[in-house]
Amino acid sequence: MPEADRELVSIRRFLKERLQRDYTTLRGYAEERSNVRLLLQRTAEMGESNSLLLIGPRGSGKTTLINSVLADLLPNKSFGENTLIVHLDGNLHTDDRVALKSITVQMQLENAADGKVFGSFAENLAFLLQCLKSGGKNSKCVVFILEEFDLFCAHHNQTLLYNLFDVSQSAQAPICVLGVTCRLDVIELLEKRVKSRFSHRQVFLFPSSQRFEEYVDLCKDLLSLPTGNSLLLAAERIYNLQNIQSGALYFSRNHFDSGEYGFSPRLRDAWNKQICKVLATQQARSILQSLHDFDISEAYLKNFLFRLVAHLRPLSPHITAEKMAAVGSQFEGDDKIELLCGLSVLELCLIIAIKHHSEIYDRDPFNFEIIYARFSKFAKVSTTMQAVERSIVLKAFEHLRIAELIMPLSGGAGGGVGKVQKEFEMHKLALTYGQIQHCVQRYQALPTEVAQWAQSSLI
Amino acid sequence: MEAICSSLEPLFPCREAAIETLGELIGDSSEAYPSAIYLFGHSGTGKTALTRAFLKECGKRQNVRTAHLNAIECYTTKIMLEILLDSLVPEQGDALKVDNMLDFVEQLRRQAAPRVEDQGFLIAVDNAERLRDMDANVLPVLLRLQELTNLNLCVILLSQLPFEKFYNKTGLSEVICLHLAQYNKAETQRILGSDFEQVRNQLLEQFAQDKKRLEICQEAVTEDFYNNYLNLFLSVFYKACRDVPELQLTARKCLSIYLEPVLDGTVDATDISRLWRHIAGPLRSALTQIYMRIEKPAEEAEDFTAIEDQSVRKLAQSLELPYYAKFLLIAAFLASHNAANQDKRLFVKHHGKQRKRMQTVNARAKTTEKMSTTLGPKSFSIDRLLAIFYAILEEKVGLTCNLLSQISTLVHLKLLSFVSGEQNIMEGSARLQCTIGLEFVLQIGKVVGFNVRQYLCDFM
Repeated sequence: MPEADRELVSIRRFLKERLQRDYTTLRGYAEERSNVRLLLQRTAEMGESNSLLLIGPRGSGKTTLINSVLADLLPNKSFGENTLIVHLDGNLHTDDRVALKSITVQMQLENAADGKVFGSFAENLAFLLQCLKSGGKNSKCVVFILEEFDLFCAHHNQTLLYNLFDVSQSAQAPICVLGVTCRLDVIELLEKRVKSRFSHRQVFLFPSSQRFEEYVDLCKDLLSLPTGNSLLLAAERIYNLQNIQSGALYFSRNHFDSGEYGFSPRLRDAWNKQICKVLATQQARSILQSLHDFDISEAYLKNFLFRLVAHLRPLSPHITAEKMAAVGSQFEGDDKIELLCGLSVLELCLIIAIKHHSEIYDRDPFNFEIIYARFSKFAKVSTTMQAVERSIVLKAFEHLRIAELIMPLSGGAGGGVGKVQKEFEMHKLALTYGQIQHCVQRYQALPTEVAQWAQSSLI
Repeated sequence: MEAICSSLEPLFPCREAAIETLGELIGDSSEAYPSAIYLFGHSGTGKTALTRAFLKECGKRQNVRTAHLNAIECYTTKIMLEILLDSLVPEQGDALKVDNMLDFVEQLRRQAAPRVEDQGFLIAVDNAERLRDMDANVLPVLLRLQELTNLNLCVILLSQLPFEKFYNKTGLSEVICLHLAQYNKAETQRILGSDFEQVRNQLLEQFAQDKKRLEICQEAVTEDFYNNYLNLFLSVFYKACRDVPELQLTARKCLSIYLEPVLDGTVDATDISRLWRHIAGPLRSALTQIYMRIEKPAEEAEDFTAIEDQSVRKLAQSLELPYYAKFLLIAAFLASHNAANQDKRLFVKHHGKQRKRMQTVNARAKTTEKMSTTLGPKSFSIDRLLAIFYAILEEKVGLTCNLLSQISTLVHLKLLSFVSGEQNIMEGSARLQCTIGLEFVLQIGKVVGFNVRQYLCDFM
């Protein structure tokens, strides 16, 4: 492999890995971050108990914030040695029994708890915390991280939450409960007795929508190569992560490790200059602007950049505005229109018939017979759709249903509607008129009469 | 990555772009995989075949473990997790047991941890729309499996739906969506034409006994001939069906009919317009058979007209019911499709004068959408069925058990069906409905000489 190719491969690998596996680098949110950091520090050093909820939309960096705070604190001796981290995920720990078992394992107390019979959940948890206390002169503190916090609220009696908050309120072993959720109304989900024990400390993470310049800078940041020094700094930080005393917090193991990489200054400067040049062009900026308009979260941008970086190959070794446009167009397209354009002419005719019906009857539901009657009126006068048998039309109708372009009224397959014949089952349209219109314009080689019929229901 | 792509491209014509994109994203196990890829497109666009081949190539050339499963097969989450774990970490053998999602993730972490660097894991899930009906945590966990297990792992979801159909209340993490577009006409023709050699060999084998035919066949069946045939074939079928496997199946079936006059020596192989006249009819009748896959024994398959005549008319005429049962069926249809308050006017001789008010006139102004024949059958009681039966039957028959047993015969034939009260027929609270269509009942009426339309409120 020639030198240039090898360099490109290493750049691609580096960028991909950093986009995908950098779990600890948080950008922005300085205030929120120091807030959480202070809280954790106080728990570790002064033995204060606390609870906090991190709330923000998907992909806004809630988990990253916690991870980055942990990565900051770990080198700190008083924190690193004195803290246990228990990581629970609402999607994995689906009930309190599973969660408690997992807590025991993560606190490395299986041996102590083995063979004991506990009367209640609270007793069990108290025992676990007691174990920690008995060890040294002052007890270890435990940080509970509850991902998908809202799912824990659905557990029976909210026992786990009640006990955790209860411990954090009373002067027992120092624990810190960090809940992470994307539901703004999560407080309403808590039972009264649980709510009253919660500290009502909430941190909201909202990516700000006003700052487009920052968005462009972020993009530049994610695409450019760092200097050797900063690579080393980051590598050291990652190295510290291995000190995490937790059986479930695994992000450290496969975390992107910048120590493996090194780029010659010549290569780095050339690459970074190229990125700057591309991002300064009008075309690139308008693509970023439209991405920004769709979704301002960093995760969305990373998804876009990942695909962009994946396009790098020896034959086209640079990121260009044209490539950005090509990838961007896939993000902008409407998937439903794409699917509509893949229908056969017959199926499209049915969609048009449904559209006319919906327009005339103000989006009343319809069944196959109604649509077939409308369609056969058209088929009679059309040259292309003549001699299409009813059974074929029914098949086409069913295909539309499988593709969920039309939906049965009484949700799901056979939801108590087994008694109704399929010809008479009522459906509703899951498309907008605009999408249908769009598809009719884009459809390749659509017969003219069908296109005309789409415009006007008169035949 | 290049090797994988170039080995797949000949297998999947017209899918070069998709193969390349997949190769860029998951072609190299030493680079980071994206956490999830969502591949969607209509049925028959090659989602499954392409992914399966791609995974196989990856497993062969690189240090990648792959798992391919169909969500339909997994009626519980546990089954799915065990299948996944079994193919990703096969060392465990029979001892494999996964209780819940946490168990799965932890076993995956544990089992796969001490392995070599650059180990990749690829999971493909067919019919991913079924994941929505499974436990609520399956889909979110699958989409974030890379982060949770910290392996170089990618989940590929295959489905016919756009990804927006998967969103739940709290949203999902980001995925990379790839669309496999339906083939256009030229591409379809190219794909259908790509099996020319195979078709030709099959034909030659078929006529190996018959020397004369073999010669004609060898001479006539050329690439051009086959392409012309496909062109004609698509001109009929393409508007109704774009599903390539279905088209392929039907195209092979019809080829023998197309070839027939050439083999007989009546039409020249290059005379396309005469061949078209010959094939147009059978193709149109084959169009009515598409998707049905009615398999006929070899000798009957030649005779396409036989298959064609499975229309409603034939079916109704060939249905051998007793005379009274036919009238019962008609009565059931009338009971299903007329309102009960109209019965007096329809079936009683002196039903008195109708008062006409503007309101009722307007209410009766019918549009096709409101006709009961398009809205579906209503239920009726057995009493009403018998009353209408006696009203439309001119002769007098006794209410015997022979007559009543015919109702249950009709139910067994699925011409009538119980809506409710299946258990208490004797009390008279059971309600039935008629499941046949208008066209069918008109034919039945014709057989017994009864004009059904006359008695339908829809047509007055």
